[in-house]
Amino acid sequence: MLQYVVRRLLYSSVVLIAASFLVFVFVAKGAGDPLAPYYLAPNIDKEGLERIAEAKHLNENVFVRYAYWVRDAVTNQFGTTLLTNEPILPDLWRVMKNTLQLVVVAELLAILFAVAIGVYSALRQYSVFDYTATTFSFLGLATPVFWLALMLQVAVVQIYLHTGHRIFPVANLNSVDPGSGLSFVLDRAHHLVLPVLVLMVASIASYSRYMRASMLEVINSDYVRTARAKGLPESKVTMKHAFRNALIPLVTLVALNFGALLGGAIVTETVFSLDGMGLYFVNALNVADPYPVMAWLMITATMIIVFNLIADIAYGFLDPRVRYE
Amino acid sequence: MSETRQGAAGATAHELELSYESGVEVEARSQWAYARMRFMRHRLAVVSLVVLILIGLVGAFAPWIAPYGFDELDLDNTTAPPTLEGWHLFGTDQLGRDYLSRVIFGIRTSLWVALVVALLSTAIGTTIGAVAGYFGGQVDNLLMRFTDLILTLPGLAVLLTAAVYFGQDDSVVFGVTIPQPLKIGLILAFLFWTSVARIVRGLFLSLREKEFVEAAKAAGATDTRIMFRHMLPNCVGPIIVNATLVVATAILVEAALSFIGFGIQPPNAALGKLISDGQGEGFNLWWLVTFPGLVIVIIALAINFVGDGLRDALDPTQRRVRG
Amino acid sequence: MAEPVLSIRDLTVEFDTEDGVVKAVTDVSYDLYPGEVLGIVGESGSGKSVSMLTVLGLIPQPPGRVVRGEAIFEGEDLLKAPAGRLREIRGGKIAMIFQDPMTSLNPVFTIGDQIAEALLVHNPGMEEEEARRRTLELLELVGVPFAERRVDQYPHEFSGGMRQRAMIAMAIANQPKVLIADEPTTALDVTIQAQIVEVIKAAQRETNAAIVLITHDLGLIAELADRVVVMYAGRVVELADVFTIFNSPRHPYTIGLMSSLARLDADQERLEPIPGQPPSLISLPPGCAFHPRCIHSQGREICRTEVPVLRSLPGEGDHVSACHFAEELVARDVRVGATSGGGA
Repeated sequence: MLQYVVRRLLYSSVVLIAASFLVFVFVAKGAGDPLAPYYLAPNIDKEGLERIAEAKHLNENVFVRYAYWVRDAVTNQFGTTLLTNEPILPDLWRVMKNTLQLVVVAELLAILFAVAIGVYSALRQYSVFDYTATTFSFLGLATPVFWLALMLQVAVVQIYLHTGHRIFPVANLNSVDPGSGLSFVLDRAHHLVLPVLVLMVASIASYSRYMRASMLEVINSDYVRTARAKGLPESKVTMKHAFRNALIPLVTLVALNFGALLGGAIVTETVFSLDGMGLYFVNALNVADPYPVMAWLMITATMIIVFNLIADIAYGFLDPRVRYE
Repeated sequence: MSETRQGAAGATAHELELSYESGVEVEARSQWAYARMRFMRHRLAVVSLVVLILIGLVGAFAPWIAPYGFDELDLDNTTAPPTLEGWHLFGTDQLGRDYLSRVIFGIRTSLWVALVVALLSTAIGTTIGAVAGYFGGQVDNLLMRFTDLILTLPGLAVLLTAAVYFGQDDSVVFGVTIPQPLKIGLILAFLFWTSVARIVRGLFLSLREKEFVEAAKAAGATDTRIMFRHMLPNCVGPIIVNATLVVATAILVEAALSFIGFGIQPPNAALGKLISDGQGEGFNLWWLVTFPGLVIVIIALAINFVGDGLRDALDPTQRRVRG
Repeated sequence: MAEPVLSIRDLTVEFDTEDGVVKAVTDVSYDLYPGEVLGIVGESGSGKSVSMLTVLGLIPQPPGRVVRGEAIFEGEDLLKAPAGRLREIRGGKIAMIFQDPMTSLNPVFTIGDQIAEALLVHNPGMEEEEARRRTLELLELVGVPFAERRVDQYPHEFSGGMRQRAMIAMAIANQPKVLIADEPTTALDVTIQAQIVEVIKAAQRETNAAIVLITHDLGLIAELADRVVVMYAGRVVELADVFTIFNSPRHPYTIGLMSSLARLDADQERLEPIPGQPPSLISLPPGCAFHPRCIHSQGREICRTEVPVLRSLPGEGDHVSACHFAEELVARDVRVGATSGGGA
C-alpha cells in the first residue's frame, strides 16, 4: 500500500515535471514577448520595461528561461510577477484559502443532497419524486453555470429594485467593512450563499444521477436479494448491503471533481468577483503574465494528482476486491 | 440517464427469465429499423429532435431569418424590453441592436463550432481507441496513459490558456484562412476525445476475441481493414451516442469560454459573448442576459434528451438497469 | 402421508411489462411434505422459480402482482402475511439458495459476516462471539477447509464451489423447515456440481428440512428428488414421484423431456428434441399451451379450445397430469431406467 502510494507519487512527479516544461514552452512561445503590448503604450518608461526584460531573462532562449523558472519555483516560491514584481506564492495561498472555503462547503452540501436524492429516487423509481428529480438534474446539467449565477444576480437585483431589500450580496467575499470575529464570519457566509448555491446545483445534478444509477444497479443485484432472503429488515438491506456498494463509484467521481475544483470554480468566481484561485488565474491570463499562470497550473495539477490518488485509495478502502500492486 | 425510459417491468421480466426472445414473432427487420422504433418510443427525445432541427435551421439560415442584422444599430429604439413591436422579442441593448437577431446569429456560430468539436473529437478518439484496443499490449498501455493524462488536466484552465495564447484571431495556414471560431473548436476537440477513445477501446478489446475477427484475420485481411471494415461498424451506436453528448458539452464549454472573454471573439457572434455583453450593461436590462442563456439551456437540454433516446435505441449495453 | 409443511394453492402471478402482461405462473398448486425433496422442473421461463420467490415475498411488486392463490405454511397464508412476519420466516424457517454464487454474495463483506448476519437477525440476543463460533461450525459442516482462516475472507477470495458452500451454510444457519434450492448447481463446473449435491444431502441430514429443488437438470432431479413437479408455460402439467415421472410420464411435454435425455441403459438411435419453441408468456396459445408443439394433439379441437385441468389418473395413486388425453399415453411408456446427470 505505502509502496503503491510512493510509486504513484514518483510517477506523477515525473509527469508533472515533463508537463511543466511543455506548458512553459507553450505559454512562453505562444505569448511571444509578454511585454510587447506595453512598448506600444504612450508615455511608457521604456527603460523600465527593458529592466524588467533583463531581470526576467526574457531575451534568453526558452530553455534558459525555463531553467530560471525552475530555479525560482524551487528556491523562491514560484518567483514574482512580471510587471509588479510581487511574490506569487503569498497571493496563491490567500486565494486558495478562499477557494477552499467556497468549494468545501458547496461540495459537502452537494454530496449530502445528491446522495439523499439519488438513493430515494432509486428506491422509489418512477415515482413523482423520481421524475421531478430527474427533470431537475437534466435542467441542471443543461444550464451554463455562469448563466445560473447571472440569473441569481438578476433576481436579487430585481428584488432590490422593487422592494429595497438586498437579500444577498452579489459580489465579493466580504463587505467593505466586515468587522472581525463572528461578524466577519457571518459577513463571509452571507457573501458565499449565492456562489455556493450555484456550485451546488451543478454538482447535485451530476452526483444525484450517478448515485441513482449506481443504486439502481445495486438494488437489482443478486446479493441484495440474498440479503432480503436472509430475513434482514428492509432498512438494513438498503442502507447496509446496497448503499455501501452503490457509494463506491460516487466516491471516485467526487474525489476527482474535488481535486479539479480546488483549481478554483473559475466561472463562479469570475461572475461573483470572488478573490479565489479561479479569478486569480483569469486575471493572470488577462495580463498575459506567464509566471502566475505557471504557478497556478502547477499547484492545480498537483492537487488533481493528489486527489486522484485519494480517489484510488478510497476505492480500495471501500472495495475489498481492489488490490494495489 | 437511459433508465428514464425503460419500463420497470421490462427489466424485471427479463431478470426473472419470463420472456423468451425465441418465442416472440421475429420479423425480418434491420437493426436500424429496430433502433428507429426504440427511438420513436422515447417521446421526449423525438420532440427534442424536432426542436433541435428547427433551431439548427434557424441558425443555418440566420441571415434570411433574423429580422435585423447582427450589428444593425437603431438608436431610436435602445434598451427596449421584449416586445412584439418591430419583432424585438428579446428586447434591444443600449445601441438599439435587436437581441433576437443577435441570438439567431449566435446560435449559428455556437452550433457550428459544437458540430466541429463533435466530429473532430470523435474522429481522434475513435482512432486512438481503436488502435489501443486492437493492438493491445504496450501500444494500449502507452495510449491509455496518455488518455489518463489528458483526463487529469484541469480542463477549463487548459482551454482558457490555449484559447488565450492561440485562439484569439484568424490564422492562415498554408494559405488557408482558419477562422477564429474554428480554432476554438479545434482546441476544444483536442481535449474532448478521451471519452470516446475509452469507449471504443473497451469495445475493441472485446470484439478482438470474436470469431468474425478471427475469420477476417485468417482470410488475410489487413489490420486497417479489420479495424475499420469489420470492427468499427459494431461500435457505431455507442460512438454516435457519445458524439451527441459531446455536442451538448461543447456548447456549454464554448459559452463559458466566450463569456469569460477568451472564447469566440467579435465580430463573430456567440451566445456566451452575448450574455457577457448583456451583463456589462447592468442588471436593469435583464432580457439581455436572460434570453441568450435560455436558448443555450434549451439547446443543451434537447441534445441531452436526444442523446438519451439514442442511447436507448442504439446502445442497449449502456442501460444501467439490468434488462 | 403426513401434513404438508408448505401448501401452495391456485397461485397466479403476473408481471406488468411494457409489452403486455406476463403470466408468470397460473393456478399452480402443490404440497411440500416434511423431509422430502420436491423437484420442480421446466425450461427457463416456465415459472418454476417465480412461485417460490413469490411465497417468500421476493418478487418485486410492482411490476409483479399476486392475482390469487394462497401459500399455507404452518397454518398461515404467507401471501397475506404482513411484511414483518414474512421477514421472520425468510432465512429463518424458510431459507433459499440461489443459482449464481458469484453474484449472490455481497462483495464488500466477509463470508463470515454474511453468515453471522443471518444468525444474528433471527436470534435476537445472540452474542457476536457465539455467532462466529456457530458460523465456523456451519462452514465446516458444508466442507469449507480451513474455516478458521477463510471465515474472514471476502467472496472474491473464494472459488465458485466454495461460495456455493458458503451460501448453503448461510441458508441452513437457522435450521430451516424448508430449504429452497434455485438451480443450485447450474453455474458451477460439472465436477463441482457433484460435490455441491453431496453438500445439499448433508445439509438435509443435518436440518431434516424439506427441500424444494428448482432445476432444469433432470440428472439432478434423478439424484435428489423424491417427487417431481413438471411445469410448462407457467402451469403445473404433471406431478408424481420421481420413479413414475421417469418411467411412465403421462404428459406429452414430460415424455418429450425424457426422450431428449441421453440414456445409458438403452440403445438410442438419436436424441429427440421437443420440436418448436416455448410460447411467449405474454400471448399464450389458446387451450393447452403445449398444443403447438405436441405430437399427440395434431388436429384435435379440444387441445386448441380448452385449458386442460390437472387431474389424478385413475388407478395411479398420486400421479396427476394436465393432458386431455393422458390415458392414451399409457401405451407409450418410455423405458425404465436411471438417467445419468450432473449428480453422478
